[in-house]
Formats: sequence, structure tokens, C-alpha cells
Amino acid sequence: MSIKFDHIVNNISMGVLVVDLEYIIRYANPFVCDCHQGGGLEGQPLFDTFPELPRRWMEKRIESVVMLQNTSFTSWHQRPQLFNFPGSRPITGATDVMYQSCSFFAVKDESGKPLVCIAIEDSTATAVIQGRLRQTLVKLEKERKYQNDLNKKLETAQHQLLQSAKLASIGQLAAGIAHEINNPLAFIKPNLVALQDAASRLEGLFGGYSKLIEQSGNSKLVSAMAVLSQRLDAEDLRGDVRDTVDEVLEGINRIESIVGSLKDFSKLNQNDHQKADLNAGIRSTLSILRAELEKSFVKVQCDLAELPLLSCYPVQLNQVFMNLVTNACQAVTPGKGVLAIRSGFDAAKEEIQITIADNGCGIPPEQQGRVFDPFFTTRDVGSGAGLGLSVAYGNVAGHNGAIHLKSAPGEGAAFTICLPVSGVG
Amino acid sequence: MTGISEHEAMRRDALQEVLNISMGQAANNLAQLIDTRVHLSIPRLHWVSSKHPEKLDETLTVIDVGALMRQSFRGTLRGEVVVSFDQQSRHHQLAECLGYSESLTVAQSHELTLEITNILAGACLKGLAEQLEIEIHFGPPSILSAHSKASDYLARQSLPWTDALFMEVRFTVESISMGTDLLICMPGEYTDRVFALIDELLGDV
Repeated sequence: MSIKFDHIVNNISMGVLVVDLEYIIRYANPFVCDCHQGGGLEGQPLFDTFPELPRRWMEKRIESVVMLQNTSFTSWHQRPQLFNFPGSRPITGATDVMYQSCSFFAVKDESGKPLVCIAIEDSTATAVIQGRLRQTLVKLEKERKYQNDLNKKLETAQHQLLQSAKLASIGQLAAGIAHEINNPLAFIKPNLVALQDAASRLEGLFGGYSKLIEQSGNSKLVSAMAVLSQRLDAEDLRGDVRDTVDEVLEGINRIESIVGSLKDFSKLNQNDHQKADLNAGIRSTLSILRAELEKSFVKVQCDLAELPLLSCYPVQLNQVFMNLVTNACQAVTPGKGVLAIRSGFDAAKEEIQITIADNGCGIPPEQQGRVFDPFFTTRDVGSGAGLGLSVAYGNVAGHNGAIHLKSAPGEGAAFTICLPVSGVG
Repeated sequence: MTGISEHEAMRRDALQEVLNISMGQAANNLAQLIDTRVHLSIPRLHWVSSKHPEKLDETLTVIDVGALMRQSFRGTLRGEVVVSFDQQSRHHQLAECLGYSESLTVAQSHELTLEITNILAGACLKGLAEQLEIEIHFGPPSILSAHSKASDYLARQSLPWTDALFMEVRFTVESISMGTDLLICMPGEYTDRVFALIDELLGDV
């Protein structure tokens, strides 16, 4: 069978270009001529005809092919377009250039002179599909990351929900205790006030009797009263009764104040959404934490400006104040800390701003991005669950607000809560 | 070579000799191309079985973790060459000899590594083909893994052969302290062809 190889080379859907060692084109098949958009390539200098070719690299490649008599390859992966050939799909294609994979191999002319043939394969279809696959992979990877983030958020929300449920139970318990203490207080205090009044009147009565006895001129009676007064230490007794009743009444007032704060904090019978004065929440938090504050701080500065009532969930915001103040207590050197709490209303931004600042150890910059993450803690194992700031963040975010942290190591930390006055609900 | 016949031992010795000569020729050709002295080690022959992939690690002791390239060859013989460029390989110093600029992009670096694979595989197998008076053609090289040990990589694959002949060669360019390992691998049926060719050579002798 005789085969016309010219016919094959002329019709094959790949480029065939033959050059000699002076880099003169000795043959170009119709594929190359069509792509170059100009015929008559034979006899033309290679680098003038295709100025896009990297000359030094090409010369070395041709030299090595002839020297080693070895086929050499380029792939569209590393060298997408060796030749500036137009794409083969000008209408439906995704690219206007042709991706090429080339083979270089040594041949000889009829006189035995070495030549190099460059076979150019159109790899556009493969390249485009691989490009799309790569894009799909990137998209899939992005979606996977999004799903992971979503799972993390879900996990955080779950923890916060758990914490909220726990807080609600504690709130109910606190409200229950407050109610139970309030019942006996309702009769203890008035009775004590009555006792104070009675003691005062008894003191007056005793004073009156003493005076009358002295004025009676009955020396026997005066002497007997003096002996009785001395034996019963009547003078001290009068002071003791007064002081004891006063002290008990002061204690009762303290109990009443703490129970009031507990009620405020847990918002007895008001667990849900309502208009609230956040300053009242701050005050009740400070009252509940009084013992802690006395241990940690030498000074507590409270600068609370008048605030508009905020439509909110007060229990949640009280929990925020509680968590931030508790954190401040733990950040300072006991007995040497300074706590500054400031509240204000920014009319321009229409938001309430509350800053809770301490002069404690501060937070290193590398940790500042993580302090609101659930379970992030710098305390010793077992000393803190690492949920305080996370819950605070969640509760503030639930009110469409934000918490900003400003801190430097050794210079304390200031948490500013910003809550839009439009509130929630 | 315990447990093999005298004829088999003679065949293997002859193959070893053919390979030694081939690598000598390959070293000369490469030296000419990159204009510096090149050394190719005496090839070590291993007959390996895919039934015991764990033994690959014991067999291929020289080749360490590196960038793995592969290139197919076909013709009278058929198989693949696997080239491992270890972490400290300084093959990038050959960039200038091969027409690349000093600062390589990632794509250029990959292309250079693939071209060196092609040159090494071509030089080694052309020498063998000349000795055996056969023709061998090559497919384009490609990247197998950016960071693997050849034995680990092969052990992880579902291998389509049962027995194969691995010829292990180390390529060294002393002037730049470069060392690279090559494995010329042929499945069992082509090993039989190699020995048939060796038998022809021995017959000629």
C-alpha cells in the first residue's frame, strides 16, 4: 500500500514546523500557516516569523534535541502558548488563544543535514476543561470552608444556648430565693422598726422614772435605784439596746438591698423583652459583686450618664456586665486594681456606649482576636470555662450591638459595649 | 544470585554489562550538553513483585523523599522511567545551560525539572536501545508527586503488573553537587523481551 504522507501532514489537525540549525523555517504545514494567518513561511527566519518565541530557550531546546537525538516536550500546563496561535473556537470557546503542547524531534533533509521538527498539538479543549475543574475545586473548597465556619457558628450558638438555659435557671433560682427572703423580711423589718421605737420609748420611760425618784427626795428609794442600776449596768444597757437594734436594722437594710439587686438582676417575673435602664443593671451587678469588688479593687469609678430606656432583654445585658466585671476582677492584682465604668449616649450614632475598663495585666495582641471564641481561656485548667466573653459577645450581638476591645499587655483592658438605641424586638 | 540457573546468571551479567556501557554513553552525551562532567552510577537491577509492595522500600534503598517525575517509553520495550529529585537537588543550577533565566517562575521550574527528566530518561534509554539495536520512543514526562518517596508512592498504587524489573541509576554532576535517582521500570513481559534480545546478543558473540 502506498501512502501519500504529504496528504497526511497537510490534513492532520496539528501543527508541523521544520527548522534548520540556522533557525530558518524549512517546512510549515497548513495548520501552522492558517494559525499564523500568512502563507509562504518556508525560507523565513523562525524568530522573525514568530517573534513571541523565547529565543535563547528555543535555541537551547533545538540544540539539545539534535545533540541527544532525543524527543523533547513542552506542555500547556507550564507553557500554555509557545506560539501566538488563535483559539480554534472563536464563537463557542472560552478562550481566544490556543493552548499548545509541543514535541521537538530531530529529522534530516534529503542531503542528511540535521533539522528539527516541532509538532504542535492544540490542547485548548483539555486546558479549558481542566481550568473549569480547577475553578470548581476552588468553589468546592470555598463551600467546604463556609460549611466548616457554619458548623463552628452552630457549635458556638449551641454552647451559648446551653449557657443561656443555665443562666435562666440561675435567674429563676435567684428570683425564688429573693422571693422567699422577702416574705419574712416583710414582717421582720417593720417589727424591728417598731422594736427600735419601743426601745427608744422604754429608754425615755426609764429616764423619766429615774428623774421622778431623784426629785422625790426619798433617799431609801434613790439608794435602792442606784444599787439596782449598778447591778444591771443600766447606763450601758440603754446604749447596748439602741446600738444592737440599729445594727440589726442596718443588716436588714443590707439584706433588703441585696434581695432588691437580685430581683433586678434576674428581673423577677420579667424574664423577657422590656424597656430597661441599663444603668440600673450596672448598679445591681456592682451590688451583687460588692464582696468581689472589695477584694480586687482599691477604687471603683462609676461615671454613669443619663441613658434612654433601651428595648432589650435586661437579664442578658446584666449577664454581660457581670461577666465583664468578673473578668476585670480576675485581671488585676488583688487589692490594687482600679475599675472604671462609664456609660453614655452617642446621639450621632444613636447608640448607648458602656465601657468597663481595668488596670490589670491586659491582653496580648495575638490573643485579642480569640478572646470572644468559646472556650478560649488564659486561666489555669479548671479556673475558667472560657465562656464568659463568648456569652457576652453573643448576648450583645443578639441586641444588634458590638463589643470592642482595647488593650495592651500590662496596661489593662477596656471593653466597650455599643448598643443601638433602636434596641431589639 | 542463588537459586537461578547458570544461563540465567549469564543473561543477567550480560544485561548488567549492556547497561554499564549504555550509562557510559549517556554520561558522555549529557556532559556534552551541559558542558560539565557527569557521572552515572553502575545500574543496580532489582526484580520486584507487586504482591509485596512493602519490600519495595527495602529494595530501593538509595532513593529518598523528593519530587517524583515519570515518563513513559514504548517500542520494542515498554515501561516507565521514574526520576526522583531529592530536596537538596541542585538541578535548578542547570537552568542556564538549558536556556532559562536565573529567576524561575513556578511553571518554569516545573518545566525545567520535566525537561531534565526527559533528557536523563532519553540519554539512559537511548544508550540501552543502541546496545540492543532496537527503537524506543518516549511520551511526554509528567509530575507524579511533589513530595514522595518512590517506594512509598508505588506501594500506595493499585499496580497493574505482577513482576517487574527496576534498574536503579544515580546521576551526579559533581561541579554543582547535584544527585538525582532514576528508575527504569519494565513490567514482566517486557523483561522477557529484554532477555530475548540479550540472548540474541549472546548468540552473536
